[in-house]
Amino acid sequence: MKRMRIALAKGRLAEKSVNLFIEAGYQLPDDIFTSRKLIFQAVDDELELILVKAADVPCYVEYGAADMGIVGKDTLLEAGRSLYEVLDLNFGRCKFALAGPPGREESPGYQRIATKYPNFAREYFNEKGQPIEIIQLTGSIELAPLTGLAELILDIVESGRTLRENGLVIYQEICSLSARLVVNRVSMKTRRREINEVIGRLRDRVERGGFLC
Amino acid sequence: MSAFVEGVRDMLPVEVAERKWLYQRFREVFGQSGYREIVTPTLESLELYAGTETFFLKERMFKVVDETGQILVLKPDVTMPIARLAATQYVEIPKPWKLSYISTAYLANGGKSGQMKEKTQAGVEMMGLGGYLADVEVIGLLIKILQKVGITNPLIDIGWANLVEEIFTNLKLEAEAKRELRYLIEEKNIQQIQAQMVNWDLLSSEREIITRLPELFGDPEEVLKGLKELNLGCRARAVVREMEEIYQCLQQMGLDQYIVFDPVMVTNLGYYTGIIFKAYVPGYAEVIASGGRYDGLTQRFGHAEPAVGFAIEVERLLGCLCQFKIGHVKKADGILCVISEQNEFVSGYRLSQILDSRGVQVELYTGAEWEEYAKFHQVNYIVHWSETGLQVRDMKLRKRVDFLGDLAELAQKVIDYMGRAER
Repeated sequence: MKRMRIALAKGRLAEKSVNLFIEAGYQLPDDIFTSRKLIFQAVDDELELILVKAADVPCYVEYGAADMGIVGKDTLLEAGRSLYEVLDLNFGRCKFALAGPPGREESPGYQRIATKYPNFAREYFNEKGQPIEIIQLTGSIELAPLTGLAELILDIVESGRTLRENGLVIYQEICSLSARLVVNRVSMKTRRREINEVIGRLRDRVERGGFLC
Repeated sequence: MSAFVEGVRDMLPVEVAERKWLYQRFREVFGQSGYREIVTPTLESLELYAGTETFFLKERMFKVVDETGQILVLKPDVTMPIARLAATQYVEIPKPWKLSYISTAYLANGGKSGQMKEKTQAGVEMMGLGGYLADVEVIGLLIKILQKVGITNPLIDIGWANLVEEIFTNLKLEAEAKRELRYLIEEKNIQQIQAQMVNWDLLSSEREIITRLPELFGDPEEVLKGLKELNLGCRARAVVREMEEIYQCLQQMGLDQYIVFDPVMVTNLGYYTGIIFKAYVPGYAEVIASGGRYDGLTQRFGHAEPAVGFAIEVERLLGCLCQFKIGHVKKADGILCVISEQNEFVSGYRLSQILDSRGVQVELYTGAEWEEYAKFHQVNYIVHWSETGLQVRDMKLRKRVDFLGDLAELAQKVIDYMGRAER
């Protein structure tokens, strides 16, 4: 059987994910953050980590190109893929929130909303029965209300500092988010023993707490 | 306008050859077990799918309007038309009705690229027979056909439609909370269940049930043991007993090594009423076949019969065979008979008739670039007329041999030569 492959979201989450694996007792190559390679094999365990763009993690796992993945709940909610979500890793904590300029919260009627999460936003407002126009951006969402591109934004908020420094306030917190361990639906059945071992080791480390957040 | 349609594709000869081999095995194995092949139309009435919106999304069906203004659909599945066929045309025929099919189904992919809009399904339906032995027979047949095409170690994951809903009936939860819980259990998201449970007014035995359910899957004996330990209602207990009977039967048949259980498995086909199952191959990440019992379906067409069946997703099976490099089609030894002058054609035609009657494939070639042609199609033997008679070029051994005689003698000499060369 080929090695278990785990997809990590590149960026801040990858660093924390790698640390989690190391603290859970996995031996990973030293060059994992300096090399430009995208595939890394654990030394003692039949395990392989791949680094992919965060938004692609759910796709890799759903199609089984990776057996497991670590990715933010925000990305999972947006991607809407069919996966098993087995563990809250408790790091990368943040919130989905609606924000905009102060004092305009109650402005009625039709609104334009800028976001990196169009699917999630559409579902959220559909459920509330609120008609909106979604403007999909890929970064610097805070600029949208400042430049008149949109009235409000739906984005992830960690400390709220970016919002504050751009003169925006949170209108409403929608839900809490954090990094999650997800598993491909078929791998869960065909590689149960190996997957349970990974889940068990990561869960033990997460439950001891300490290094994360 | 683009000449290409996303989600459909052409099949080239190599794939078609592999498919033909697969289809022959399906027909052999299904036929041997008494499943008679039927074909239902590509076009069905939209009415056929009325009331099935929960499992066939109308907007994903391809619709066409006929000359009378009736809306037709390209069949999005095969089981529904077969239920219609059976309930209307089989009523007088002794039961069970065992039917098999190889068919195309059409479904829009909802904008998800990568998903095909046209897929091939091969499967069986056994109608008019309830009881777990019919379920076991069909599962046995699925294992047999998968092994026959080269999947030595299939894994059949068995669950039960609505078992979770059955377990939920007595929980004092709002419908919304039940829906959320169902989703979380399906997602095996134990942490979120525990977090949510604080808000719900449940007995401790009920809490135990809903926290243990997501982990109860895998080894059938452990799953059955776990389910029996839970404080379930009497209908859920009856399901557990039936699952146990099925497992014991499969065990006695020597098939238990291929079986795992997942009692909370869901399927997006809402017509299932009893056992449901999916087939996996270790190392391949997609479901290659699925099936189950659907006792209520023929009722829709005026004649209620119990029924159970499965469908193999042929494109996924082909993908799986390709990934594991399980290829079946070998190039047969054939001859290319090159005709370079018009007057050679009739002799070539006659020679090919003689060889053909002796079981040797001959292809006549009247084009100008026979060397490239033979090379591309990997033809081993080329014959052409020479000044003195017939020349055979052996492409494998890279040699030429000349033969003399009338057509019957030449044919015999070619066959003798091929026989020697193969040794």
